Amino acid sequence: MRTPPRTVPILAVAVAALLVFHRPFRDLTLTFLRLPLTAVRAVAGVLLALPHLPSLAQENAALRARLAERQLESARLRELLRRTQQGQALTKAPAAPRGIVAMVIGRSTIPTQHTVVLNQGERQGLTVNSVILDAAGVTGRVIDLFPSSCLVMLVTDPESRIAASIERSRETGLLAGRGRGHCELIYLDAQADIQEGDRVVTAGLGGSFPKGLVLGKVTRVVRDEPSGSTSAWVSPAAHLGQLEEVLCLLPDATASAGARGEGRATR
Amino acid sequence: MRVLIGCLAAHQLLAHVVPSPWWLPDLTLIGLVLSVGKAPQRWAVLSLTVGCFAMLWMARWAGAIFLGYLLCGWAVGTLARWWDTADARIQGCLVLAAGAAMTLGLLWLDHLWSLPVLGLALARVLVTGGCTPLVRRLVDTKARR
Repeated sequence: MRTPPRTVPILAVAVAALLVFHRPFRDLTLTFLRLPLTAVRAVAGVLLALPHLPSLAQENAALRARLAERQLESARLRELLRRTQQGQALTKAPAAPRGIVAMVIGRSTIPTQHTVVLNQGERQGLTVNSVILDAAGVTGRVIDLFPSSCLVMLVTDPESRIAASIERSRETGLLAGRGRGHCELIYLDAQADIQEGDRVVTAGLGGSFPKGLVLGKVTRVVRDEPSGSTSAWVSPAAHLGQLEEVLCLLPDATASAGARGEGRATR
Repeated sequence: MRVLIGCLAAHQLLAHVVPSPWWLPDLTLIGLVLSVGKAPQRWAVLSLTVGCFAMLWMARWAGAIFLGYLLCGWAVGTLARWWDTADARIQGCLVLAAGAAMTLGLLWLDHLWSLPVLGLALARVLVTGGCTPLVRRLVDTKARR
């Protein structure tokens, strides 16, 4: 009697063990597995862009006009700067933060882990803890790096923790992800000056996040008298459900932005 | 394997469209149960594929979740000895059970036990269970063609 071949299950279990316990092998596998995603995303992007081509041409023309205006303004400001007595001091200020644009090529299908995969990685200069933004505010930070892609933990992930402060009153706390689209600002004093609608920004503590980046808006304040603490629910400013393109701050940019205490980044 | 790959691709595409992952049916699990239910002897390869796919977006507990999918595949493959796992009703029950186990496992790993999150978890299991007959019908229609 012929015994059924057992090579496949044995091989499968061996590969499974390697994937679970051997990190370099896992990283290599993930790098290969992500290649088709990039290709699919690129093709989908082209197909989705096709209907918008006519309006894109108009928008492009308008943007070129605005760019020309900005260049003129920039030239005027440069000239003014040169003439100013404090010009010398101002030119010594740290350079504006630099960043690179990345596209979201994958999203987590696991509900308790709010992560996205970007098409930029170590080769483009990103490092672990690089800050990721979209037009509205902070999106998250890089937690895992690959040569040409990276895994980003969003601010709503249950493991996400960011030192944050209220822009109006400068009350400082810790913004913790709660795994369901909202964050909670914790470790606030019982008498903390905080109210609904307050803007929450990064506090710049801990090194990863530059000071002053927009995190979100307070939607509810919870004062716990017995424990003498206050917490607040915060709705993230970034549109985490519809992320397509994001800006990744490069490590030196993070440092210089922190020194300036600004949240602006240039591409 | 084609059903599984289709489900994985559809799951990822839906993840880009649906803003919250809690309202996303776990098509990966549906694909796994349907595929293993039809070919129980291939549970190892199918589970391995699903585990690799899920690992793409894992921030933590990669090993645990990978083993969770492997366990689901093994369980369906083993139950196929006694039950007709190609039957639509049994597959629906298996998806519900596996979905509930995986979701509760995820909540346990991340210590997410608040009432709203439990509600979202229940919604996810129900949405996944509700989608199973639709996926099954789609697969049957394709197979008949």
